[in-house]
Amino acid sequence: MKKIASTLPNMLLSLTLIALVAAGLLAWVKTITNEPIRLAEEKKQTEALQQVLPAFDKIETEQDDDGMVYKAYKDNKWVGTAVKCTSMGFNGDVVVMVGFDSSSQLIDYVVLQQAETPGLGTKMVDWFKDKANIKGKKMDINHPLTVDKDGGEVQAITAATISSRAFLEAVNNAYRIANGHDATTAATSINEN
Amino acid sequence: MNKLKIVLNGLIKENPTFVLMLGMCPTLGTTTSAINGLGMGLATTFVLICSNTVISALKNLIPDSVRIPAYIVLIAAFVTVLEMCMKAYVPALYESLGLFIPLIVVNCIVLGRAESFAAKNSVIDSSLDGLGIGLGFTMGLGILGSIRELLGAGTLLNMRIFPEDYGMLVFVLAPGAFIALGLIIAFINSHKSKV
Repeated sequence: MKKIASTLPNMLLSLTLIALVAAGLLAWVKTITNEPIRLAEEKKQTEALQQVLPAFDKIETEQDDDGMVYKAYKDNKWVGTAVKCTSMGFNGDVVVMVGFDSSSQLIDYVVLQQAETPGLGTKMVDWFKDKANIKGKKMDINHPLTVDKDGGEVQAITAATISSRAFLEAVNNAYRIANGHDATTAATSINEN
Repeated sequence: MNKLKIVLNGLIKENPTFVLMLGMCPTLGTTTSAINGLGMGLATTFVLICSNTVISALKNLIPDSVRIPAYIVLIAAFVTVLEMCMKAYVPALYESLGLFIPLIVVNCIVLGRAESFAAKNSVIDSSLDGLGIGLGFTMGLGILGSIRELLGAGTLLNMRIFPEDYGMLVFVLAPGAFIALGLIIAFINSHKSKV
């Protein structure tokens, strides 16, 4: 078959057909992958919640201005709160999920999204669990966690103080949000009693 | 043309990373670890095979004056398909490659092979060329990623080879990518001229 000439109708027809077929293909793949993508995101979220919270059987989700709040209940008793919130890192947003138990102790955290410098800031994923352990720390709304460089007690990641600050800011914000939501819960439960 | 020769051509003689020096941006950007390099290579291979095959099949139906937009639409469609599939089935790899997946659209290897090979050769030859070039790219990224991961973090495919404290951090960062790539190419060229 000979190559078709570059006349206006040919060009229009050819490009239109290609664009139509491409759009059809994308729509088809989208319908197939929609469900698995949603499931994969849900699974990631559930796994993060299970890691940062004590054993629970019910989750209540609340939307806060600065993040998502997940309140965990076991046998209808409140056992802890996880908060997903964002802070500005060295290179884009840092999204962390932090869990606190009913006595304001930090249980665990999961870094859900970050684009810090590989080998430096990216260490935050594990650093605050083994090198500068903040797990089990009792949080206090009046004394937010700060890095040692700012006079705090948390050892910053070597050569990545900005990333460390961003991480702790997210943790402190998470606690502030969790605290705010606990207070309202406490208030309502008193009213109920 | 011998079918095996087409595949080997892309793998060795015209290796996109070490000989043609195409697609340097993803090469330097994604090879922070062996697994990232291999993942990026395989993703590009998929797009190369699909785009080469389809472009070769349609080459007589695409008028010359609009061939570039036509190729780009086709390539972009395949990249988007790949992106959605990766998000659905390998979310962890998708996250670590991130921005570089949509950027395959403008990877000059893909458009280059469409122009210089698929637009002139038969469908089967073109898909084999896509396979060969893709595997050559995968091999290049795999080698570079392994070296950077080993020297920078002391691991290979996430297995610890030596303690992390002895790793040279610069190899995980961008300058290390340039240094490692330059040394590999120098090594290959010095051996080529001796043969």
